[in-house]
Amino acid sequence: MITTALSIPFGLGLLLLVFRNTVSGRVAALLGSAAMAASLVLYALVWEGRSVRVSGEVDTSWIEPLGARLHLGVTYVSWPFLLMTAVLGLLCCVWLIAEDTSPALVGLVLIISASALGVFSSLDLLLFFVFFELALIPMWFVIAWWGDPHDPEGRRRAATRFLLFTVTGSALLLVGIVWVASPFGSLQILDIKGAALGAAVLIVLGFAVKTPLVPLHTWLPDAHSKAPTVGSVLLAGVFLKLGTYGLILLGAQMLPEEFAKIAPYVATAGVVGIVWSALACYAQDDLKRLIAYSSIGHMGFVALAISTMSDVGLAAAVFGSVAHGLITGLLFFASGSIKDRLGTASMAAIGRGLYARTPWLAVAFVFGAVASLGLPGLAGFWGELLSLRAAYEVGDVLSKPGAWTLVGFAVLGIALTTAYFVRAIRLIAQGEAVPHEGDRDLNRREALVMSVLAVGIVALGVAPGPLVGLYDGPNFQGSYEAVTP
Amino acid sequence: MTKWAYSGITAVLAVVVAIWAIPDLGDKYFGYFAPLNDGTSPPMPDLSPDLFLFPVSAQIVLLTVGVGLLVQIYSTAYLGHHPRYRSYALIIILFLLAMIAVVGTTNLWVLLVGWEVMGLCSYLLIGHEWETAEARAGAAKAFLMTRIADLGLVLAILVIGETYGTYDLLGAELVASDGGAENSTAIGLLVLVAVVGKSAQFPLHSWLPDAMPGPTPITALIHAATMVAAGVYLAARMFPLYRDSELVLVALAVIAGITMLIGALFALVQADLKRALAWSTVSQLALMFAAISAGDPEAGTDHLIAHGAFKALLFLGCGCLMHTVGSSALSAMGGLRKAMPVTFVSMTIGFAALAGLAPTVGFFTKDSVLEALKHSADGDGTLPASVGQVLFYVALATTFVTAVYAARLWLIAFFGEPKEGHEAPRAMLLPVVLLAVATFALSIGQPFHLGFGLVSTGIAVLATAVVVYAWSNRGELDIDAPLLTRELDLDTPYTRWIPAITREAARLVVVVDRDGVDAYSDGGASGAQLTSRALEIVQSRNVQRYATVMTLGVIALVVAGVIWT
Amino acid sequence: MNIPIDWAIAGPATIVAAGAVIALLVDAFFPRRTWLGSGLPSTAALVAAGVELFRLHDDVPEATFALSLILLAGTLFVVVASNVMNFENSMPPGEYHFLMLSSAAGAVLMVSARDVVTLLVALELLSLPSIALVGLRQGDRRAIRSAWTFFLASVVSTAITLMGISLLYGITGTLEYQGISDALRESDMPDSVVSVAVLLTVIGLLFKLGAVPFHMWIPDAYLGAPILVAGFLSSVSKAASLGALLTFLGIALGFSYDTWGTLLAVVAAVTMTIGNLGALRQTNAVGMLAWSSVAQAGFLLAAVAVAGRLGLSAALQYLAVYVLANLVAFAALAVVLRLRGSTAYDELRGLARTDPPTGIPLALAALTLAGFPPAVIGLVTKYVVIRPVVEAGETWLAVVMAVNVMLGLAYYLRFVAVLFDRPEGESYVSPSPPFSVRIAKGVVILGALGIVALSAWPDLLLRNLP
Repeated sequence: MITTALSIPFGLGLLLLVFRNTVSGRVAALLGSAAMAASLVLYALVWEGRSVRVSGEVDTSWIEPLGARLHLGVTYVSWPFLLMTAVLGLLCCVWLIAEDTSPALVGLVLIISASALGVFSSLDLLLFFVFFELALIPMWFVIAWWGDPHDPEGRRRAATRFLLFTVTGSALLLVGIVWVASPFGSLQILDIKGAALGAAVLIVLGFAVKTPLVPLHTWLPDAHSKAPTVGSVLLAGVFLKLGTYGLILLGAQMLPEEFAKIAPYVATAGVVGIVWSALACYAQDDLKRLIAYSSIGHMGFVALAISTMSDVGLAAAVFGSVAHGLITGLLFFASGSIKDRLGTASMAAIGRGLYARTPWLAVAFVFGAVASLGLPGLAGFWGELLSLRAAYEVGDVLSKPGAWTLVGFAVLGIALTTAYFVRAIRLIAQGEAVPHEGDRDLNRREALVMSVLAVGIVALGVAPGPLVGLYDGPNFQGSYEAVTP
Repeated sequence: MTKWAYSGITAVLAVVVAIWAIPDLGDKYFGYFAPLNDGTSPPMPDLSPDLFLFPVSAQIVLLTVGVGLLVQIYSTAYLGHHPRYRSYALIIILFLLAMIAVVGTTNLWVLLVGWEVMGLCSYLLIGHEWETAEARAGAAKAFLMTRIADLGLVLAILVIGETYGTYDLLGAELVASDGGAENSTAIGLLVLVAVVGKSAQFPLHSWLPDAMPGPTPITALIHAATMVAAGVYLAARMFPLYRDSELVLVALAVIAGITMLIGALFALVQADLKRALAWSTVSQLALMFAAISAGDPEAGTDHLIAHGAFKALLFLGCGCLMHTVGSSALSAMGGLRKAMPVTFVSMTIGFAALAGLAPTVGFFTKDSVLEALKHSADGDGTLPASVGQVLFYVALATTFVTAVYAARLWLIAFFGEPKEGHEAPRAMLLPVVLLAVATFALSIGQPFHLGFGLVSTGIAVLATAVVVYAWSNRGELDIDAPLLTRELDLDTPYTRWIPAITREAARLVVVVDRDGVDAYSDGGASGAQLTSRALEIVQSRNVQRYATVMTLGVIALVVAGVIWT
Repeated sequence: MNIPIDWAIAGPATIVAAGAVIALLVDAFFPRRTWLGSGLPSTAALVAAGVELFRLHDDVPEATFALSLILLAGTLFVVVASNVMNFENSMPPGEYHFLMLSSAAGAVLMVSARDVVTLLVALELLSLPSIALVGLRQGDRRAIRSAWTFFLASVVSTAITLMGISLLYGITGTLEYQGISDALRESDMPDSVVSVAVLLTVIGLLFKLGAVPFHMWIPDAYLGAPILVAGFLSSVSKAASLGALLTFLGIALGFSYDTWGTLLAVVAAVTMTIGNLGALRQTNAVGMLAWSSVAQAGFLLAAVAVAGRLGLSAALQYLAVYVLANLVAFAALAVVLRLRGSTAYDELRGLARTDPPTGIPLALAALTLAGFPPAVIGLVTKYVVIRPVVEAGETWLAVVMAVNVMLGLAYYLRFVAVLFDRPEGESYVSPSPPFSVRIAKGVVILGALGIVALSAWPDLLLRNLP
C-alpha cells in the first residue's frame, strides 16, 4: 500500500517530465492532484492504530552487503507528517491548475512531495537518506527556474545556496549514518539503539541545517522568498519537517543517550532562533522573507520540544510541525497570490489597504498571521503551548534553571511574534487603500486551496485531541471523583 | 433589512444564554464531576466545553449577552450604513461567544481560547475604521499589550496544571480550598499579569484610552460587558488559588491603588468625553481589584455588574451625543439638555451611578467595595492592615475625584449655552433607556451599608457641590494641569522606548544575520572561489613550475614520513 | 636476480599486447583508414582478453580479477566509443588503437604485477603510449605541448619511483612483493628509512593517479588530448595505478604501516579538496571533468588509506562506478565535440532538451560522480567509501569527505543545470548523424543504462565485486 502510495506520484511526476510538451499545464495539474489525492487516501487508510508499531510495513531486501533494506512503514510519529505532506502536495497541485502552468513544474512538485513522503515512510537509514537527497535537485530547479520572475540572478543564487547548505548538512548526516550503522551492522532505524556521541553530533548537525537552527539558517530566507509559491509552500511546509522529523526519529528516538547530551544545545539554538527570527521579522520589508524568518521561530519551538525528549515534547514537536505546515502553507499561498498580482512581495510596494482592495485575500493573510502568532483555538497555539509545557516540566534531559530560562525567552519570542505580525497587518491589510492595477480578489482555485488550509487550521485548533492523543504517555491515569462543594 | 439579522442572531443567543444561566443565578448545591489526576502529569490539553456556571458567572454572562444585544441593536442605527457592517456585526457575535467561553466553562483551555479570541475581536473592532491612523495604532496597541499579558495566563494555566494535575478550574479550586493550595505565589503573579493587561491596570493601562478610535458601541461593549470585565472575573474566579500569597495580594492592592487614583485624575482633566469615560473605566476596574485584594471578590464582581450597566449606558449615551454633534470632544458639546432630553436624563442617571449617588446601583456596589476595604484596613481582610489602610484612603480619595469628574463631564456636556440638536434615532435611544432602567433595577437586593452610604454620599455631594460652585463662578471647567494632561508620561515607554529598542534590535539582528552569521558561508564560498582562482594561476602550463611543485611535494611527503615514524 | 613471471596470469595482458600489434599490422596492410575497421581487431583482442580472464578466474586473486575486468571493460568502452572520431583526418586510427591497446596491456599488467620490476615496466608501458596518445593529433600545437608536459612530469615521477625501488631493494634485497614483506618484518632498519623508500616508490603511482601535488599535468593533458584519450587516462589509467597501489601496499607492506596510512589520508584529503576547488570555476566540460577526476582520486585514495585495516572492497566498488560514470561522460562529450565542435558550457546549454540521448546520460554521469540521487549508485558508493574511513576511526577524513561532497555538488550541479537550461538562440537540430556517431551514442546510452540499472539494484555491483 505504501509502495503504491509512493509510486503513483513518483511515476506520474516522471511521466510529466518526459511528456512535458504533450500535455497542457491544466491537465498535468489535474492529474497531479489526482495522484496526490490517491496517495493521501492510501496513507490515511494504511494506519492500523496506535498499538501497532509499524503500520503497512514493507520490508524486502535491497542492498544486502550494506545491510540496507527496502523497509517502509508508517509509525505513530510519521503518520501525521505523512498526511500533512500529502495534503500540502495535493494543494500545491490544485494551486497549479491553471493554463499558464508548466507541466514540468507539476512533475517536479510531485517528485518532491513523493520524496518527502518517502523520507517519512523510510525505516532504513540508507533509504531515508536517498529520499532525503532525492528531493533536493528537483527543488533546485523549481526555485531556479520558476522562482521570482523579476530576479533571475537572485533566484538562481538562492537556489544554489539552499542546495549547498542542505547538502553540506546531509553529507555530515551521511557520515553520521555510516558511523551509527557500521558498529551496529544494521541500517534498520527501529533496531538501532545508541552509537558514538560524534555520530549523534553529525546527525543532529545535518538535520539542524534543514530545520534550520540558528546559526545554520541563513539559506532559508533567500530560498523561501525567491521560490515560486508552490516552492515556498513545499520548502516551508515539507522540507523543514524533514529536519524536525529527522531530529525526532534519528536523534531523540534512535540515539536517546547521545542526543541527551546534545539536547541542551539544540534547545538553546531553538530558543535563540525564536527570538532572533522574531526580531529579524520585525525589520523585514519583503513579505515572503518575513514568513520565511517566522518559520525559523516556529521550528525553534519544535526544536525546544524535541530536546526535552518527553512524551509531551514529542506531541509538541509533531503538532508544531504539522500546524506550521498548514499555517505557513496558507501564508505562503496568500503572499504568493499577492506577489502574483502585484509583482512584488515588498510591503512598501504592495501598499496599504488590502482589506479594501482584495478583501478575501487580505482576510486569508490575516487569518494565517493570527494563526501563526499562536492564537488559542487555532492550530499554531497547541504546538507552542505543549512545547512550553514540555520545557516547563523540564524532562530528564535539561536542567531546571536552563529549561525555565528557555521558557522565558520563548515567551518573549511569542510576544515579538505578535508584534511583527501586527506590524505586517498594519502595513498592508489596513490603511487608506491605494488601488493598484493588479488588485484582484481570490479566484476559485485560490479560494479553495486557502479555505482547505483554513479549515484544517481551525479543526486542529479546536480539536487537538486526536493528534495529541497519539503521544499521550502510557502512565497517565485519570480518575474521576464526584464533588459537592 | 439584513442588518437586523445580526441583531436577531444576537437575540437568539441572548435567549439561549438566559435559559441556561437564569437557573444558575442563585446559590445552590450541585453535583459535578471534575477530572482529578493523581499522577504527576496533567492530561494532554483538549477543548471539551465543560460548560458550567457559578452564580457570579451566570450574572456576568447575562450582562454580556444583554449589553451585547443592546449594542447590536444600537449599531444598526449607529453603523448600519457602513460598508463593512456585516463583518462588524459578526465579530461582535464572536466577541460575545468568546466572553461566554471565558465565563461559562471550567476547562481552563476553553477559558484561554475565549480570553484570547476576545483580544483578537477587540483588535479587529477597535481597528474597524482601519483607514485612520489612530484606529490602526490603537488597535495594534490594544492587541499587543493584552496579548503579551495573556502569556501570563498561558503560563498560569501551565503552572496550575502541573500543580494540581488537572486543567479543570473547579477541580483545582476544590483541591486548593481543601487547604492544598500550592504555588500560589507563582500562579497568582501570572494571573495578575494577565488581568492587569486585560483590564488595563497600571502599568499596562494605556491601551484602553487609546482604543477610543473604535466605534463607540464597541467601546461600550469592551468597557462594560466583555474584555475588561473578563480580567476582573478571572481575578475573582481564581482567587482561591492565590489567596494564600500575601505577596500577590499586596501587589494587586498596590496596582489597584495606583490605578484607581491616576485613572480618576486623568479622567478629570480630559477634553474628550469618550477618553474621559475610558479613564473612568480604568479607575473603576481598579476599585474592583482593590475589593478582590481585600479578600472580597464578590464585592468586586458585584461592582463589575453595576459598572457594566452604567458604563454601557454612558458610552452609548456618549455615542448619541457624538451622533448629534459629530465629535466626542467636550468643546463641541454643551447645552444639549433641551435638545436631547432623553439622552440627558439617561446619562444623568449614569453619571449619578458613576459618582455613587443613591439610589443607583453604583451607590450600593461601591459601598460594598468600600466596606470590604475598611475591613481590610482594620486588619480583618486578607491584606496587611497598613496596606489596607492606605488602600482604603486612596479609595475614598478616588471616590471624591470620581464624583468631581462625573459632575464636570455632566455639566460641560449638557449645560451652558443651549445648542441646536436632535435626539438620536430610536434604535439608539432604546438601549440607552433600557440601561438607565437597569441602573436602577439592579439596585434591588443589593446589600446596604448605612455608615458607608452616608460617608460616600457625603463625599459625592461635596464633590458635586464643589464642581457646581466652580461652574457657576467661572463658567468653565477647564483644568490646567499639564502633567496630568500628559498622563504623567506613563505611556512613554510604550510609545517611544520599547518600539525604539525593538526596532534597533531588529535592525541589528538583520545586519548581524547578513554580515555576521552569514560570514561563515559567504567566507567559505569566497575562500573557495579565491583558491580556485589561485589554482588556475598556478596551472600555468609552465613545466618548470610543475616540476618545482612536484619536488616540493616529494620533499614534504618524505619529511612527513620521516617525522611521523 | 631472478624475476619469476607467471605467464598464465599475464595472459590477458599478453593478448591485449598482441592485439595492439595486430591492430597496427591490419592498419598497415589494409589502410582503409576507417575507425570501425581499425577498431575491430582491438575490440576482438579486448574481448578475447576478457574471455581469457574469465578462464583464469580461479587462478587469479579476486581483486586482481576485478581490477583487470574493470580495465578491459573500460578500454573496450573507449575503443568502441572512439568510432566517433571517424572524421578526424589528423588522427591515424591504426596508431591510435595500437597505442591504446599497448597502454591497456600495461594497465592490465600493472595490476597483476607481483614484483617491483614488473610494476615499473608496466608503469612505463602504460605511460609512454599514453603520452604519445595525448600528442597524437598531428599539427595540433596544444596537443604537443600537453604531451610534452605530461612526458616531463612522467619522467620525473618515474625517476623518483626508481629511487624508491632501489632503496627498497637495498633494504630488503629482493624485488618481489612477498619477499619485501617478509624482509621488512624481520628487518631492523629504522622505520624512517623504510617509510622514505615506500613513499618514493608509491609516488610514481600517485602521479598516475593524479594525487596532489602530482596532479598538475592532468588538466593540461586532458584538455590537450583527444577527448577519448582523456577519458582513457581518467579511467583506465587511474584504475590501473590505483590497483597497483592497492596490490603493492597490500602485499609488499602487508598493510602494516600506520605511517603511510595516515600520510595517504592526508594526501587524499588535500587531493579531493584541491581537485574540487579547481573544478569550481571551470567553464569547459573537459576541464571540469579533469579537475573532478583529481577530486575523485582523492576519494579513492581515502579508501586506500584505510584499506590496510578494512580491505579493498570499498576502493574497488567506488572505482568501478567512477570508471563507468566517467567514461559515459567523456563518451557523451566526444559526441558533443564531434557534432558541435566544442565542449564549453555555452555550447552544452540545453543539451538534455535538444539531444536527450546524449544530454541525459551526461547529466546522469555527473550526478553519479557527485553521488546524488537520482543516481543512487553514486550515493551508495559514497556511502561505501565513507564507511571504512569511519570504521577506521579517521572521522576527520570522513568530515573532509563530507565537505567535499558539497563542494563537488557545487560544480556538478552547475553542469547539470547548464545541460537542462533553456537553449539560447535557435535550437540545434541534430542532422541525422553518421553511423559512427550512432555507435558512440549507443555506447553512451548503454553506459547510462548501466548506471540506471545499478541505481535500481545496487546489489548488482556490491555483491559481485570483492
